[in-house]
Amino acid sequence: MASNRDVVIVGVGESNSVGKVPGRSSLRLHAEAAFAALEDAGLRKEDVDGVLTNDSYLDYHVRHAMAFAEYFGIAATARAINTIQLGSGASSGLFIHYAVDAIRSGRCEVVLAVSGDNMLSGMNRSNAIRALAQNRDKEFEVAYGPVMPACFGLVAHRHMHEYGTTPEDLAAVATTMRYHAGLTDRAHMRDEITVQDVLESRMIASPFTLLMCSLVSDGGVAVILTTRERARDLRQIPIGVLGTSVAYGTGDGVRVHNALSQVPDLVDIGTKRAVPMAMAEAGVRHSDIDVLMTYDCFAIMPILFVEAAGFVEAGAGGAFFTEGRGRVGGDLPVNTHGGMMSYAHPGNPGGLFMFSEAVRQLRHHAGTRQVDGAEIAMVTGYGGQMAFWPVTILGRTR
Amino acid sequence: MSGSDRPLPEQTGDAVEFWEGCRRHRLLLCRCRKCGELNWFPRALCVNCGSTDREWIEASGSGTIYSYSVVHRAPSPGFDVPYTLALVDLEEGPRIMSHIVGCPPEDVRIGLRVVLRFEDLTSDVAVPVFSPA
Repeated sequence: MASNRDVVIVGVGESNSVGKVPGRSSLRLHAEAAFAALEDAGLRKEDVDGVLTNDSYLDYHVRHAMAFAEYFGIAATARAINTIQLGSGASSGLFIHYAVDAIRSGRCEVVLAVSGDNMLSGMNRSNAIRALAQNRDKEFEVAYGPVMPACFGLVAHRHMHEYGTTPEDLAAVATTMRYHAGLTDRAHMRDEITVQDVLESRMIASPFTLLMCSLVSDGGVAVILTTRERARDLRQIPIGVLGTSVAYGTGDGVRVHNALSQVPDLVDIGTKRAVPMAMAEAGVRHSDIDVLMTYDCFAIMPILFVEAAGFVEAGAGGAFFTEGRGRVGGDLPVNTHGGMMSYAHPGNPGGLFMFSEAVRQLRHHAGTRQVDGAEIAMVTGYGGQMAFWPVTILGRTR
Repeated sequence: MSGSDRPLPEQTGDAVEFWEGCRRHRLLLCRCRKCGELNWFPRALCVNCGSTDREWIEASGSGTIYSYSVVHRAPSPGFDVPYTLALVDLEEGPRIMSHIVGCPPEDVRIGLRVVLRFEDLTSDVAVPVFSPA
């Protein structure tokens, strides 16, 4: 039942640019994005009474959200300032999830969710890769050098074994993302690439070549949420948070896991349980979804997401991309900004760009990559080591 | 393929017997005496029932490859590339992360039967690795 405390997104913003942006600290990228989102919404910093951040790969603060709130100048009348450090793939969906709780409960009126990092200019690519290898179980995994691409390589090889997914299917995900970035002025990497280019790029960790991996970029992004009632006075068409859920685990796992080697099933992901929950809350069906945003750290993940979300059956995700169904103009466009594989992946902000783009699509502000008449978007996030799966459904309001 | 910069396992103290076993090139698995659950990772409190009453049983050393990925870009000094990261399903049930050694990376495939070896990272620390059976 609709209520005035229903939660809507009223502002989205990004740092002045994304991609290679030297000389901007992580907190500065946060602040640029936050000001851009406030401007977009027609709100002032003093209106914000809830702040969520998800830390930085490079710029450690033990109470990161407080460090940002101080840097940005948040008023001391704030009601909730929290760091939700759940990684690049899940923090965004969980920002929305917990912002909804805070706003519907009446604790907060205006929540700013913001992330920013400079993984490219703040670190070189090699250091970024090394840092990610430390993101593993220190006792039973780190000694084996499980770099991020190899961890997802484990997933991809398993999917190829179970379903016959091919390197060409992975390449089709990459070319789809690059095609979309080509339609997006601000994207980090926009030059056209072919399937052959993808297959022939340098092997990083099998089966992934360089162009099957997400970028290393700089950038910041912010989203502002408030009540439907408050949104009436603001600048943009409010985008409703129609449904939000999170599921834990994979396969038939009985308990949660955290480390990759504890994963019960590498390809049967928990999104399959989170999607029905979010769709039930939103009151929508698969045929209602006009645009899909999926966390694309590596080319295998959009394949798993279109399967687990129920848009195609298990094993058919590769064909979905190879047949062009995920392209703007196809029947379910995916990551219309180019995703993390071509738009930007600065580190912890990566997944939040899915939301800024979904909002642009539903406002009908997506220029040449606009999905005609887009009304409903689904965002599928990725948490931990194949460990938790947020799903968000957004809808254009009247 | 060890280098002096290869990261060593950071021991939490829950698995002293496991690492002592590895030092002596034996793979010891932690089993709860109350409910019978094999706990991998070794845990002080059984992840199923919470009991601290546990015993150590020696693994047969046989397993099969659940998945793998051949790494071509090393995370830090101390790793010689390419190396083959893998998840190995032990005959006893647990799935452990390890390396496949003793064969060219292109010969590795899911379902391959493997046997346990050990790699000495230092004179005191060894880790389980696997090679084709």
